[in-house]
Amino acid sequence: MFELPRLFPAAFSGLELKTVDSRFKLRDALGRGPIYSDSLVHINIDNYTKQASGEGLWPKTTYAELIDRIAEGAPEAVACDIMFVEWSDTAGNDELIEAVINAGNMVSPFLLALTADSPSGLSPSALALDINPEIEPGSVIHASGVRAMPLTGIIEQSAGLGFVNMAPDVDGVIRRVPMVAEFGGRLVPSFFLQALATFFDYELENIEAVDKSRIILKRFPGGPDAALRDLTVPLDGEGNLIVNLAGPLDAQTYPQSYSAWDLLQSRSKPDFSRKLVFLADISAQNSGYWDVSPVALERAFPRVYIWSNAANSLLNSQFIIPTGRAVAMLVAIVLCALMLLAVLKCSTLVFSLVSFGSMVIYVIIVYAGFVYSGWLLPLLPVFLSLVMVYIVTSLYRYTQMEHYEGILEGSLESYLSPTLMDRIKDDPDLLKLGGTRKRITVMFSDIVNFTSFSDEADPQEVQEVLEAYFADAASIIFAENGIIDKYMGDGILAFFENEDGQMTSPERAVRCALAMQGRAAAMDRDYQAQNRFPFAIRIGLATGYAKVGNIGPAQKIDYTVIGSVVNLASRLQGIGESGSIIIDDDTHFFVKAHFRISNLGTHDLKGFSDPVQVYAVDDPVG
Amino acid sequence: MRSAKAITASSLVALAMCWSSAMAEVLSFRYGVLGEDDQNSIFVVEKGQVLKSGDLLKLNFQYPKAASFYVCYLSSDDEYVLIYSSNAKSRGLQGSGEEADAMYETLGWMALDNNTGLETFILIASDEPLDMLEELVSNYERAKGKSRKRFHKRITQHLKDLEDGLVKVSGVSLTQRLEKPVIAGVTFRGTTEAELSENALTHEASGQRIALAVFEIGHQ
Repeated sequence: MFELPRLFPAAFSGLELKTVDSRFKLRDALGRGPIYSDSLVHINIDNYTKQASGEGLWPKTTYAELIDRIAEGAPEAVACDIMFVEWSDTAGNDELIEAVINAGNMVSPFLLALTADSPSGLSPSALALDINPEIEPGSVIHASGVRAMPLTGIIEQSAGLGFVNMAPDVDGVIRRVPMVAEFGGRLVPSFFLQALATFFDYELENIEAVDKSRIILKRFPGGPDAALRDLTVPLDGEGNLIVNLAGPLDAQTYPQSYSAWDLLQSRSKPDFSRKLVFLADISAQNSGYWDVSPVALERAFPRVYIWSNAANSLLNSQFIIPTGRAVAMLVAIVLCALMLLAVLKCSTLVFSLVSFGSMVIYVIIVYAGFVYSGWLLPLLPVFLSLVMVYIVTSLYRYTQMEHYEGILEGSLESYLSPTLMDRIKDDPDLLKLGGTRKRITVMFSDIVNFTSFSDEADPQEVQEVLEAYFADAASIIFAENGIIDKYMGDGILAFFENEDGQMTSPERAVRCALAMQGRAAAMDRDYQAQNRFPFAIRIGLATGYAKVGNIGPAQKIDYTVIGSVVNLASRLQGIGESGSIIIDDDTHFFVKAHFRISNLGTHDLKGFSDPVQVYAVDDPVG
Repeated sequence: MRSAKAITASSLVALAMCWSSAMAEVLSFRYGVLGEDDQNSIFVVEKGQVLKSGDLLKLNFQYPKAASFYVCYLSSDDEYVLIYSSNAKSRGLQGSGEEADAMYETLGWMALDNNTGLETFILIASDEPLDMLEELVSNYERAKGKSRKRFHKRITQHLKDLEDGLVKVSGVSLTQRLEKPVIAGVTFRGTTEAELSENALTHEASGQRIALAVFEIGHQ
């Protein structure tokens, strides 16, 4: 399951990264982002600066003037995120280099070639990086060369150089930055780390690159109290620090952001003492040079603020901590085990609650862990694992239930009509003990002279006759949505319920009785043709109120009817001739328009104190 | 048999050529560090010897005329100064002499200031100019603040590389180095003033195409 993201990296990575962004946004909405250090100052060459200066493309002398102005404020370090490269126009180079010399603490950027296919042929000494500590290749990101570097004079006179390569994710969003790289066997810090090293006078020799998952800054003066301590920086496994953004770009989050033009025009001496000043061109004009990138919180974010946010993480010792796959797998296994336990031991409801609860709990852990502790747990791999386990266990549970249902249904189908089976499936409460009082039509049928036939005939033949008759009768009854209550010797007790509030049961019962008589006549013809015996049935129908439902002991399902109407149907069947259909007055009332009916007058029936008006159904009208 | 002789002869010729080449590239220089005590008596300052503030110190050296020679000084307050460069001989020389194939220089008497600590002299002779060292020290002198610290580190590293023989001059890795007391006319502490000249050269350093000597003095 955990390998699914590897099979569909683009789809899963994109989705997973979106969830990461949503965590940043949630944290920002809750106001739980890290506090931006007051040691960090931004001097921005912004649109206002460009417009006010009247120069879209600044001469180097203007940059030199700006660096001089910053230097007047006596900052601890100036991280200049502008690369002044060698080109044909050398005007102002000397002034610029002189400004760098005067500042005495400028950190300059350069670009490494991080792919093996673009070696530049330069060695670390070309950028005076040969004084950096040695590092074993493979322990950190490897650089094959230098892609771009500033003027030689700036390289020489800078207090440090840091590479400004960033590592956009598959969706182009910058969420992480490299921490250090190995170039020609030398450790090279990224721009923000070199800026901090210069800021603190921190020796790069104190950096211990354990592997691509963590780096230890020994005796680093970060943290709220600026005390020297070994600071373990968690990385993403590829040597990158996940940038712990303090928030979107606004003056409230980054209060010490100033326009370069204001600094140039100000007559008072600035005070940048004990500050790390980031100098960058964030104007729209410069955004075309990739100095603006999308980040988790914004679609366009100046890269210099990405660097400063990375520096802020080290200053505050507040990191986004990517948890390894092992932790996520462990959590997934525990939750999946919980679900499996639930599917085996608990009811469907409890299983569903446990399953959905596990998913919800994991999502809460992921988001709360990020907001409150900076844990970056993988969401989709674990969540999809839980969903898959839920689907598989649900399928298992469903097939198990189907299996049991099949057994139950097979048993019940012998007694209950398909209609009733469907109704029970839709409303299992029908099987609850008690039943309900409703108006129905009860049918009683009986084979004429069956007792003498069964006495005389071979039992096998009796069984064959009964099986053939019952099978046909059951089909006919079920076809009219009747319910066979029970078989009683050669008799059948069935009843018909009304549907959709319509009084349809009498008509369906009569139609059913006529069809049964027709089938009995056909059987009679067949048997007589075989010189066997005459076959005929009598049917009695009565309509009235009865208690219908599962009535009887709890241990036995018996969907039956109780009421005098059952007795009446039985009595009516008893007074009929062979092949007759005798109905009571209520049934007659509802079917008289549809069938030809003979009035048989009143009869005294056993169990009834008053004479009962009875009728015989001849055949359908028309 | 004839071919064995030929091989042996060839090997000997090759060996001889290598030896002569190696010998040709061996570079050496002599130097002497002298002190003068309260009684104005001159003595040889030995490596690691402890001197007091106010003590006089004199550095003499002699190197091949064809070579470039440098004296880099790392003061007790951790500042580098290139106090002598044969490419720019103007750094307060008190006297110099020229022989047929050697150049003699002395930096004259210097009094130790009040900054105590370790005083280090690095003397380097090279058959090629050490432009990198000169450039680094030059930039170092111009640099300020934390950039200056970076240059300090770079100079230290460069000198260490020279000392370790890691720097390649004309593609030759330098590994051979030898430093020894000068046998002839050597005078050490305890000898009489008459026996010790203030222009004495007390030690010799040699190496393959480059020779380097580090001389440290404790300063109290």
